[in-house]
Amino acid sequence: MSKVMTVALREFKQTVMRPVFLLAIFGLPVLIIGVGVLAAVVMVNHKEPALIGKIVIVSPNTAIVEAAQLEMDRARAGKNEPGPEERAVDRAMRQNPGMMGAGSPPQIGQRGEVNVTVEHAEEGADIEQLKNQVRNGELLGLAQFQDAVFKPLPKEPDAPDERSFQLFVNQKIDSNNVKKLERHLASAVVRVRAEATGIGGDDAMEMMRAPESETTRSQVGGGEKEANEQMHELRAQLIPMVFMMLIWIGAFSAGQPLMLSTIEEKSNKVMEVLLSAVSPMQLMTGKILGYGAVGLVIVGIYSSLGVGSLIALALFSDVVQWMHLVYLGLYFIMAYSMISSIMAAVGSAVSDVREANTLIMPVMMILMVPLMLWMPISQSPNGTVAMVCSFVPPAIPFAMILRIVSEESVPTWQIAASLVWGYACVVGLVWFAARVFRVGVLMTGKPPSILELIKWVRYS
Amino acid sequence: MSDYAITIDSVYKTFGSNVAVNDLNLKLPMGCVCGFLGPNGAGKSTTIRMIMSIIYPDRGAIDVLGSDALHRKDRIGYLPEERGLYRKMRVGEYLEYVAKLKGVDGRECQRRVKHWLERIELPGVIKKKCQELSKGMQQKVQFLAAIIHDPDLLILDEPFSGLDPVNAALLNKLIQEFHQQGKTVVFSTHVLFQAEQICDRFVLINKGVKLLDSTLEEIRAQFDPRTIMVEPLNGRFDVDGIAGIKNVRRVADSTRMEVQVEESVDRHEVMKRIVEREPVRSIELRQLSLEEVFVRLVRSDRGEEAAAQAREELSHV
Repeated sequence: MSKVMTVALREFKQTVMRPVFLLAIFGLPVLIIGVGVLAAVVMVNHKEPALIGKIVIVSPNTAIVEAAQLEMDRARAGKNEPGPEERAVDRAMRQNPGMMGAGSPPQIGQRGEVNVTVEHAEEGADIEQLKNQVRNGELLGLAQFQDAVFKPLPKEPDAPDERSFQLFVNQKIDSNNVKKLERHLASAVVRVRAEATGIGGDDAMEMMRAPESETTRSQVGGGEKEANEQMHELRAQLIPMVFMMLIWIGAFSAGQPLMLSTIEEKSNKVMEVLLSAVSPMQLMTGKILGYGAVGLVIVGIYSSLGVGSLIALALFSDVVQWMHLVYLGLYFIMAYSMISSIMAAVGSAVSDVREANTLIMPVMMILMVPLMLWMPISQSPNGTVAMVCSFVPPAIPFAMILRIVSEESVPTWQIAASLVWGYACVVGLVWFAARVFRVGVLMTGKPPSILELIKWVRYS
Repeated sequence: MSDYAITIDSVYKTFGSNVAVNDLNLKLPMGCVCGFLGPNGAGKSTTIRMIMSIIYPDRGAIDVLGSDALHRKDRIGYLPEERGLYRKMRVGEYLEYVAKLKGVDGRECQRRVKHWLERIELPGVIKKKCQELSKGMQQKVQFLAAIIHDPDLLILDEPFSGLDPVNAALLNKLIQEFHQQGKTVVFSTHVLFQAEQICDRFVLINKGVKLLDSTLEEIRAQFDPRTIMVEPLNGRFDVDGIAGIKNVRRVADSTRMEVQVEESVDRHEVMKRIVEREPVRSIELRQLSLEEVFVRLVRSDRGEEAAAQAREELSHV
C-alpha cells in the first residue's frame, strides 16, 4: 500500500504543484467571475439609444395620428407598459430583492429617452419622397395604415387577416427602438379601435393589462408552497447541469493528465524502471488515486465557488440539499474511476496523444450522451431516456446526478441500483484496464485496435 | 534459503504466434556474475522481464531469491535496456522516488542519493532537472536508480550501451564491487570482451532456446579447438613424422603456423615433440574466444540438436 501511496503522492504533487495547473485552477474561476462582473457592470450602465424625431403616418383614419402621439407622449413621460422581458426582470427583482443586494431593486439598463412627434401626411403625398426623407434621416419612420386595420376581427374563420400596418424606418435605428415604435403604434391602433366601439382608449388599455398570477406548487409529503417559476427553472434545469458539469470537469480534468502522464512515462521509457519496483496494478492504482485527488481538488474548488455563489444569492437552502452533495461525491468517485481506468488503459496502449484520441473516440461518444440529453433528462427525470442512460456505463453517474438534483424525485431503488451497478462496472473497468495496462505499457509501435486490446486482456 | 539466485523451470512464453522463450531451464548460483548473451530477438529481454515479474510466463515457474520476483522487487536492482527518466523531475527527487518505491525510508533515501551521486562523480546535479543532464550523466543516474536500494540481485540489460570508455570502466568497477560483496549480477550484453572480463558464468540463448550455460573454464574445456599455434624461430617448420598431427597450415599474413592435433593424442605431448624438433619463438594452445563460441553457436543454431552438433564440430576444430 505504501508503494501505491508513493506513486499517488508523486502524481498529485507533480500535477498540482505545477504553475500551469495553479493558473488553470484558480485563473479560470477568476476569469469567469471577472467576465460576469464586467457583464453586470455593462448591463447596469447600459443606456438604450434615444428615440428622437418625427414619424409620418399615412392613413385614411386620422384618429390614429392623435392616438399615436398620445402613446409617444406617454412613453416620453415613462408611463408606457413595459415589454415582456422588462416585466420578467421587474418581477424577479420584486420576488428576490436579495439578488441585487439591499435597497430598492435597481433597473437593469436604463430606458432611453423618447421624444417623437407624429404627423399626418397630406392627402396625395408622394410616398416615395417620404421614404427618401426616412433614408436621409429627416424622418424616423413612415407608417402606413389601411382602413381594415381599424375594423373588428373578420367573422369567417378562414378569411385572411389584413389588419396589419407597414412601418418603414431608417436602417441606422436601433432594433429596440424599432420595437418601441411598433409597440406604440400597435397600441395606438388598439386605442382607435376601442374609441370606435365606445369603450374609451384608456379603459381599453387598462383592460389589456394582464393580471399577476399567484401560483403555488404542491410539495413532496403534502402541503403547498408559493411557486417561483424562475426558481423552478433554476432548480429543474440549471442546478442539475451545474452538478453534472462539476463531475464532468472534475473527472476529465483529472483523467486527461493521467492518460498524458502514462503516455509520457512510456515515451520517456521510464515505465520499465517503475515496473521493476511496483506491479502494474500498484502503478495504475497509485496513478488513479493521485489524479483522483487532483480531481477532488478541482471539484472542491469549483463546487466551493458554486456553493459560495448560491449562498451569496441567498438561495442555497432552497435549491441545494445536503444529500445532493453526498450524491455528488459518490457519483464523482464513480465517474472518475470509470474515466480514469479508461484513460489509463488508453494511455498505456498508445505512444502519443494523436493515437490516444483515435482510441478514446468511442468512449467519448458515450460520455457525450448525457451532455446532449441534459435538457430532456432534467425536464423528464423519470422518463425512458433518463432511465436508460442511468444504467449504461460510463454515462451512469452523469445521468443519475442530473435526475437526482432535478425537482422530480427519483425512486430510491433506482438510486441504489445505479450505485450498485455503477460500482460493479467500476470494478470491471479497473480489472479490464489493469490487464490492458500490464501489456500496453511495454508495447511500442502501431496502436492496437479494440479487438487487439481484448486479446491483450487474454494474454495477461 | 536456496543456493540459487534465479531458478527458471521449463518456462515458455509466446506473443501471438511468436515463441519468445521456449522451454527454458536455468539455475544461477548466488554470488555469480552471469553474462546473459544472445543475438537481437533471442528472448533475453523477455526472459529478464519474466524474471522481474513485469510479464508472466505462459507455462513454467520462475523463482528469484527464494520466491517470485513480485515479492522480491525490493531486493532486485534492474536497469532495463530501454531506460529513461522523468525529464522535468529533479535528479534528487527522481532517485528518492525510485528508492522509496524500493522500500527505502525517507531520510535514508536522501543520505543514499547524496552518497551515490558523489560516488559516481555527479555531486552538483542533485537539484538539476533530468533533462538538463548530458546523455552520459543520465545513464549514470539511471544506473544509480538500479542500485540505490542496495539490492542482493542486480539485473542489467545492456548496461554498457552508449557509455564512453571512462564511464564504462566506472560501471565495470561498480559491478566488480557488487560481486565482491557476494551479490549476484546478471547482465545481458553484446560486448563480449567485457562480458569475458567480468563474468564467471555465461548463458547463451537464441530464438528462445538455451544454447549454452557454463562457466568460462567449462566453455574453454568444452570448446577445446585441439589446435596448437607455433611461431618458428627461423621460418623453417618441419613436423613430418610427429605422431598425432592431423594437419598443418600457415596463418594468412603471418609467420605463425596452425597445427591441428588428432582427437586421441595428448596435445602437450605433441607440443613437447615440436619444441624438440624445431626451434620456436612461441608455442601455445589455441583458445576460442567467447565471441567465436557465440558466433558459431548462433550461426549453427537450429534448436538444441543443432547446438549440440555445433559444439561437437567446435570441439573437433
